[in-house]
Amino acid sequence: MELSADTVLELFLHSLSLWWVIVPAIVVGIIMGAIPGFAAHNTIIILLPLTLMVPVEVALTFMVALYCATHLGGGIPAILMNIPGTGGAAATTLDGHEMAKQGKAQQALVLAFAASTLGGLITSIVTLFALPVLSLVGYYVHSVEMVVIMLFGLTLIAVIAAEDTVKGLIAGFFGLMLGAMGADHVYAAPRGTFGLLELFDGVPLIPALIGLFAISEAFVMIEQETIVSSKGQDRAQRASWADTFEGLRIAAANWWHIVWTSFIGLLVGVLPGAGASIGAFVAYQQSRFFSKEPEKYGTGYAKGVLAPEAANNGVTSGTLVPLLAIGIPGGSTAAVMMIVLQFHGVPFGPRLFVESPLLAFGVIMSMVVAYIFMILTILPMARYLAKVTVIPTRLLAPMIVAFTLVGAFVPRSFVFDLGVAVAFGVIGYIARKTGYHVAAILIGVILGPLVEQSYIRALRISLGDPLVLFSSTLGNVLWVMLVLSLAMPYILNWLRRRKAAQAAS
Amino acid sequence: MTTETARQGRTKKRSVGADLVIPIMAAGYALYYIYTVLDYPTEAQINGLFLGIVLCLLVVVLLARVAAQWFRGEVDFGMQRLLAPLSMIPSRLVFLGLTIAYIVVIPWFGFTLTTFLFVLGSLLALGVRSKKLLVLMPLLSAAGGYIFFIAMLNTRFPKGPVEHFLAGMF
Repeated sequence: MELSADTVLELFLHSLSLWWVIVPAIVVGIIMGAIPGFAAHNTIIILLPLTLMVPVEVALTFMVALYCATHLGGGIPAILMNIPGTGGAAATTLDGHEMAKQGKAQQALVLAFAASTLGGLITSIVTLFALPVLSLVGYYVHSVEMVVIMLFGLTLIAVIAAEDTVKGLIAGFFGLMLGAMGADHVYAAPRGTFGLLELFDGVPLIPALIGLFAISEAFVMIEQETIVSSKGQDRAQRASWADTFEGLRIAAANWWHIVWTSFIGLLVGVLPGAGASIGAFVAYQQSRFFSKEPEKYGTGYAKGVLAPEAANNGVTSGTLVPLLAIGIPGGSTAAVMMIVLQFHGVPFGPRLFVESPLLAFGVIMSMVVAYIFMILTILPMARYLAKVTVIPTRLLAPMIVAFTLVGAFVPRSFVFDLGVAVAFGVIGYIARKTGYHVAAILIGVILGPLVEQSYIRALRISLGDPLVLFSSTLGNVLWVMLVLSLAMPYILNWLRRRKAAQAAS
Repeated sequence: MTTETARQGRTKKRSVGADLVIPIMAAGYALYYIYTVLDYPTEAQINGLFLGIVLCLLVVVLLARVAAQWFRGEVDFGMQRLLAPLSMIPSRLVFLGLTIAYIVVIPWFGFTLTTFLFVLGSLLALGVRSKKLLVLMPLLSAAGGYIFFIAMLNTRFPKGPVEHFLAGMF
């Protein structure tokens, strides 16, 4: 179906008329996104009965707005407390929380909000017009490429997040190993489960996220008085509109940075299974790679907040592309949306564009409208949210543990999962204190089962020949990029030392 | 002079004992994982074997690097990095104990009462002495949690005396 200007206007006005669904979805989404454990998909699952009671377009608009808002909300605790509300906000902690520690939480929040909304808005508009073309990306990515993409993503995280590459890789592979726990997909043979039935489905992801980030952070937190360092106290105390405007000015000055990193998110989102975590880290790494000041990343640098936030909202429109175009959900939230579409008898995949084209494009248009509403809703909140960083940690830590443990319980309703969260909390605490970044472990846990699925599928196709991993052109290009990203820190160090030696002589 | 130099040498050494906890844990799990798949069909083994071998190799590289640094006298095997600040060890242990207790008692006490007791105990353990805070914070967190998660979202938390009482009332 061709999109004419009239159709676009009609879709826009129609989505705008659904403001009464969009605004509550944004509010709920931001709150849920800010609570680790309450990601978009389990919030939608909780509210599923509601979405099944209303017409399908209203239900989809609600879900889409909620989905986008959770990605924005996930950045709030990442910045304020070093606890990403969703996996996609893990990369935001690297610079966002550093800014908060310097008393610039408000500015960091404004940067995150601006990047999220602008990144999401741009990619939604692009998706609206490029949906047929984008959907083709999925055809070029098979199991071999998926294995390399996931290992590439993990490598990037290991290189970016940890103090040194070997430590980062150990953390990442430890995560992959933990992620490979559970029953084998073909024979249902339990592996590495310590004989616990509750682990046969693998490591539950939400308790792992909560343990690694929230519980461990609460334990680190009680070792200091407040989140803000003593130097940043004054600045954090007198948070005002000036900081909001300063954040907006920085975001506007870096508009191009937001645009291209959000496109990285969009492309990663289109790949089924890759998701917001990888998108945000890839964007962060690329942003640092092309920066003139790479040494500033990780020290509270504005571009280090803009890149992952723009990308993880770029992912939101990307994950809907395979669902709408070929009927394969790009992520867990898209999978829940697919269930709602199925319930209402709406065909998904290519038939959706033939039978209900306005619904297909309307989903993306409601994203555009949701982002417009979001920027108006969230900006005034930044200065009040920033005050969290000056609350004494001895008051914050118990609340964080109590309320995030709740999140660990929600997805499966097993008390056992609370224990998993605490066990991962201990691992996360040790990792934080000894320079093994928790993000690398978490991404490993997320990717573990996905890598295995793709790897086994590739081996089955090749009748067990492991060289199949080097059999595709795209895969080989990605292998080269992977090796380059591993070698790059060493090459840059060598160049720096050589330059210093030349200058000294 | 010699003593002074020796002391300076000692203080310059980096403590890396704590840095080895995660690699040892990781290698231990990898070996256990490999042990559990030894008798399985190849497809069930292959991913774990691949990941486990790479992980163990990485750990060997790290250990070799640390050994070389130790031979050069640059590092010792102290655990300061993990344990510091030492004055906070009791608070951290009590906080961890309370967190574990939260999980143990929640099936009997239910979400609301356990949250109330956990927040109260943690505040006391972390040195909060203001009576107002000690009453208000546990009360608000338990009540807020009940209203938001149980009453509004209908989350299936373990029910205890408070939940049963409130269910009987409304």
